[in-house]
Amino acid sequence: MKSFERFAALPLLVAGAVLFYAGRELPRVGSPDSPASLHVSPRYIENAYRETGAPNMVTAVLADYRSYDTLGETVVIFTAGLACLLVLGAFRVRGEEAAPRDQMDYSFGSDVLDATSRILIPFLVLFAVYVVVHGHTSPGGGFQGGTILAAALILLRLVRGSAEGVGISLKGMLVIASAGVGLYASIGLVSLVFGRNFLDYAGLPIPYEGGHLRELGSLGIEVGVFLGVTAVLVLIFDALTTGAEE
Amino acid sequence: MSFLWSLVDYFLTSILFLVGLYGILIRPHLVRKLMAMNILQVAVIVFFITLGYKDGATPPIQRAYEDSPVARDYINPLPHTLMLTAIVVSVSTTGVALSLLVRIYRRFGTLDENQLLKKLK
Repeated sequence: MKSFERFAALPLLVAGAVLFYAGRELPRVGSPDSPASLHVSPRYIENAYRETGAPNMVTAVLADYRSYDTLGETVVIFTAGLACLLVLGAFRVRGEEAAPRDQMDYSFGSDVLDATSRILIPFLVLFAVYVVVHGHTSPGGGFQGGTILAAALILLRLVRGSAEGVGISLKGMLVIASAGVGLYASIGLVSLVFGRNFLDYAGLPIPYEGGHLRELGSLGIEVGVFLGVTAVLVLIFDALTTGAEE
Repeated sequence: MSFLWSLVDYFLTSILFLVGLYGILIRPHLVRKLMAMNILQVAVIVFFITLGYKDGATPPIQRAYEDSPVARDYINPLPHTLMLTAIVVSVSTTGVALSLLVRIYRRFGTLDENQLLKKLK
C-alpha cells in the first residue's frame, strides 16, 4: 500500500506543474480585455434588459438566452434524485415483499432548537419566495430560492423528525419534482405549439409585448426550477435518512 | 515579479484544485474522497468566477437610469451563469455519491478503501 501511495503522488506533481506553467499565460486578473470578456458576454450585457426585460443579466442568460441549457440542468438534478431513490431501494418491484423500513428517528430536537427553528423557518420560507420572484431585478432565481426552501424543510425534519415535519411522503416529493420539470418543459412546448421555437417566450399566448412577455415566461420556468430543486433536495435527504436495511 | 503577482488568484485556485486532487488520489477513506471531490469542484468554480472579474466593474445587474449599458462597466455574467449550473451538478453528484456510500457501508460495514479491497478478495 505504501508504494502505491508514493506512486500516486506522481500524477499530482505532474498536474501541479501543468497548472502552474499554464497559469502564467492567462490574462491578468480583472482585465476588461481578456478573451473571455470580449466575445459573447458584451452581446448579453448590452442587450439583456432591452430584449428580455430582466435587469439581472445572470437571470437573463440563464432563463432566456440559454434556457434550453437550464432545462438540461433541471433534468440532471431530477435524474440525480431518482438515482438516489433507486440506489437506496426506496421503491420495490411489484410483487416483491417490501423490506422492513428503518424506523430510526433521525431528529435531534431539543426545546431550544425547537424554539429557534420556529422563529427561523417562516422567514426562510418568505425569503425563498422573495428570491425567486425578485430574481429578475436582484441576485436570485429558481435554483437559489429552491435551495433556501429545501434548507427550511430539512431543518424542520432535523429538529422535529420526518413524521412531524411537513408531512409530504417520498412519493409526494417525487410528484412535486416531476411537476417542476414538467412545468418547465410545457412552457417550452406551448411556445412550440404557437409557432415559435422551443422555449421562445415570444410565442406564449399572454397579452403582453416584448420584454414584459419574455420576463413572464422566464418567471414561469424559474418557478418550475424552484419546485424541482426544492423537491429533489428534500427527496435526497429523505432517501438518505430513511431507507430499507439490507 | 509584479507580473506573477497579478496572476496570484489563478495560482491560489490551482493550489485548491491540487488539494482536492490529493484527497481523491491518496486518502483511503471514501467519505474524505467525496469531500475532496467537492473541494476540487469549488476550485473550478472559483477559477471561472475569477475569469469573469473586471477592474472597476459592478455586478451584472443593469442600473435603472442607464439606457445603453457598456460591457466594460459590468462584470462578465456568463461565468456566473455557467457556475450556477455547475453548482447544481455538484450537488447532484454529491447526493448520488452519498447514497452509493450508504449502500457500500450497509453491505461491507466499512468505508475504508484498504479494508474494502481486502473484503472484496
